[in-house]
Amino acid sequence: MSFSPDDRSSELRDLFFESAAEILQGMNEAGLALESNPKDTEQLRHVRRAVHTLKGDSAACGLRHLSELAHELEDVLTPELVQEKSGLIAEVVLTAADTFHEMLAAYRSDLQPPDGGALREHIRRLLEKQVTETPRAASQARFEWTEYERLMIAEAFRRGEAVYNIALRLDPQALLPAAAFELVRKALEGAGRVLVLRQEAAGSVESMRLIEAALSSTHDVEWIRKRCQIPSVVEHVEMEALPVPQSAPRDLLEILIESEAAAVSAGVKPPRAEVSGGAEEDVREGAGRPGLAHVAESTLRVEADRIDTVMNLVGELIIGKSMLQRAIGEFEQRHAKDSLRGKFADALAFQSRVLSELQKSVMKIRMVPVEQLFRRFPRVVRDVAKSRNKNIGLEMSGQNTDLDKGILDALAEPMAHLVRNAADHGIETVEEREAAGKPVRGTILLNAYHDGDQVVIEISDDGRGLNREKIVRRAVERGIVSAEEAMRLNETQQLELCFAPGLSTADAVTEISGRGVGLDVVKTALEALKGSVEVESQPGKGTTYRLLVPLTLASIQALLFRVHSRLYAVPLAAVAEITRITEEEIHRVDNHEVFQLREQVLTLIRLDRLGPQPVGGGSKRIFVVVIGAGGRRFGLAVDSLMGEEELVIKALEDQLVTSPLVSGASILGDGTVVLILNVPAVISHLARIPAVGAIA
Amino acid sequence: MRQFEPLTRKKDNQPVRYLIVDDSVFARKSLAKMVESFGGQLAGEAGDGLTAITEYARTTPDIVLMDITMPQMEGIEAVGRIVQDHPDARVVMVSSVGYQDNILAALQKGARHFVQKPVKPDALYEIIRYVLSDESAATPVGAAGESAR
Repeated sequence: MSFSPDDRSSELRDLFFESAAEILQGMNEAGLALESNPKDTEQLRHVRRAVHTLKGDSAACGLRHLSELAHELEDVLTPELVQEKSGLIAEVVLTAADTFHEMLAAYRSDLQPPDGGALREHIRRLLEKQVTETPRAASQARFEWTEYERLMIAEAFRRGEAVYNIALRLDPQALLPAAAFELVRKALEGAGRVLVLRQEAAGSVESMRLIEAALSSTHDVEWIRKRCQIPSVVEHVEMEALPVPQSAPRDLLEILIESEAAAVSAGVKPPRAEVSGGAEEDVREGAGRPGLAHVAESTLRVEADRIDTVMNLVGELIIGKSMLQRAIGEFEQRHAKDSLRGKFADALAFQSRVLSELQKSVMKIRMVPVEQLFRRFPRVVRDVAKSRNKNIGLEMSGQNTDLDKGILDALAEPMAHLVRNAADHGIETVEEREAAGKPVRGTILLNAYHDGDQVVIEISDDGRGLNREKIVRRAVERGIVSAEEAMRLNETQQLELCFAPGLSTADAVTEISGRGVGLDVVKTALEALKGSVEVESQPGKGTTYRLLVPLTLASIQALLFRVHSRLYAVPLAAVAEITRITEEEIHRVDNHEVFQLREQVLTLIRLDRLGPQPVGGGSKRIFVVVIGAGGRRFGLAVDSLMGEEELVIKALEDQLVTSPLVSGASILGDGTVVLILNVPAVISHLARIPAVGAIA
Repeated sequence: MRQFEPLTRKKDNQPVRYLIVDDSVFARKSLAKMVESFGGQLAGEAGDGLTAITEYARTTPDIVLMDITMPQMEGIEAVGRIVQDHPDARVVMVSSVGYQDNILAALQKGARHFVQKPVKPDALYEIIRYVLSDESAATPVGAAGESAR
């Protein structure tokens, strides 16, 4: 897939070319270094890293030819090459740099890239010889075990077991890779002790099919091989017995020394590589897009489940901490003069500090930059623009904003919907824009930033804006609101009718964004994430959708209060202020109870009576928690305030207790269950009350 | 159809006995035909998971071919129960395309392999041969069953 002239995702593209040029520069230098010293494995590794980066980046930019060629090259650049083919390496690396350069130049001017025949020939030659000399290079198995894994292997030797490296290539016909992987795992576990087992997931589908393992076993090679040849799952098995180390008992130590030595030698690599590497870093940092170009080497892939387990345990610890806090509080009351008090307080403070650090670190593991999400949209916009014959540029900012991976994944669908919408319906055609005196090129802007403990993602376009009258008309036609209710809504509320189910203002259902679903899907998805969506639009100027999601789904800082002896909580971030009013100050407008706070009139909500209210008299003073969400504020009448606390959110799985108004529950240190209110849902419930009130 | 070399039990060289579990009579018959072409013998049939469990206990087959989606009790649960009671049971899941999670669950509950509908005789033959091959493996002491995870 090459860039076509109408593709305007130029920012990303420029960035790619910029970093690719750096990479090629590094390859050229490394190639020259290898020419003078072919045995320099460090340089070769440098090249391989560079090729790997190029592969990933070009794939992200949709430059398939380049990515595939880089992939092929990466696979043959094994460390063994230094031993076996040292004479050829420099030539290959330099040819590769030239070929990639030509391909990039072609892409840049939107020409068909050359097929890189010379490089392919080199790769083929390298592969051919390696097939005969080292069979395992052909399967691309590298058996690059980590230090920990090498320790495991060393220990197996110490126990006197034989250790095998096994590479399994999955049958391309096997449609269920996860099930296939499970079968392989079972087969290996049935054959011995699995020391290492990993599936290559980085990179292309091609490498997904390769499973590498280290196994210690008392079976012989042929027996294990037979077990591994799982029909209709495994296409090819390669095995090698690892040589027993010379002095088995000293293995552990040896490995440690070895790795130390490796670290030292890595530190004193040739200055040239150092310089070019450094320059590369600088450029990327300057560009401020670390995700695009750099693949860190010291990363560890862990199942999400394991992190969740740790997260849950941390949650339990937080509950434990509040138990302790309560106990100490009680102790302080009873033994006000005991000198132990201070010690307890110190210990508790220390524990809290470490605990919050721990929680932050665990949370960080789950965090990924939203760039991972944004990255897929240039292509979406380009495709829409092309098929609708529009001229659209996509700009992004705030890509480095971190967000929980789970939330990020869940946002992909709704966001794609909004981006497609913006490109398809928001941005006008070139002619319309010219007629309106706007720049011919429309712009869609993706932006992300932190706001308190929320992350805000904005999707803005400078298109025609939403047609508010039309939305209201449709909503009335569909019976979503009555005509008079619609009149009463303010502009924002009228716009927000576009999120109602079954409402679409698109005149023509296009193949791109019209799939029979409307913006209500977006709203539902956001609410499932305990988030919300807002819309702002100006006719002729454009539309902005704002997605607000919590930073994490794991815990929140919350304000606790009681209503009718039941304990509730709202996220502290949503609390604007707390005030006291008397019943006399409550007035009734339509079906709402309202009160005046300074010069603003706010709706009052009573959780025990979520519906039309009789107006009570009397001079009883009540607490009102003023809650703001999405630009709207309302007051929540509460009986008593219980203070603020960090709550670990437990999902409410049970259908019986699930209510849209409650986003979750938590357990306090004393075992009390507290319900956490879903503020956006309460507000939208409130907005519906007039309609309900008319009937009820 | 390809001529298959008859598969036999290693311990006594007798024909391999199959229990076929599927709620579709047609599917059962076509699987039965297939395993007969492998030189096998039909030990029993069941149309749902519950019957499969009792039939397994009654007939002690060498191989169970188990559909995933069935009334009464799903194949996944049936596998779990059968393997729990008979750890040596060799259950091969038979499923329609696109049930990866279910297959994964069945494998985790002790199924030995899976085959996708429409079942191809060649594939099934190889799978059964593979699943049967571990009986000769007289599990060497200390190796099998022990896994470092």
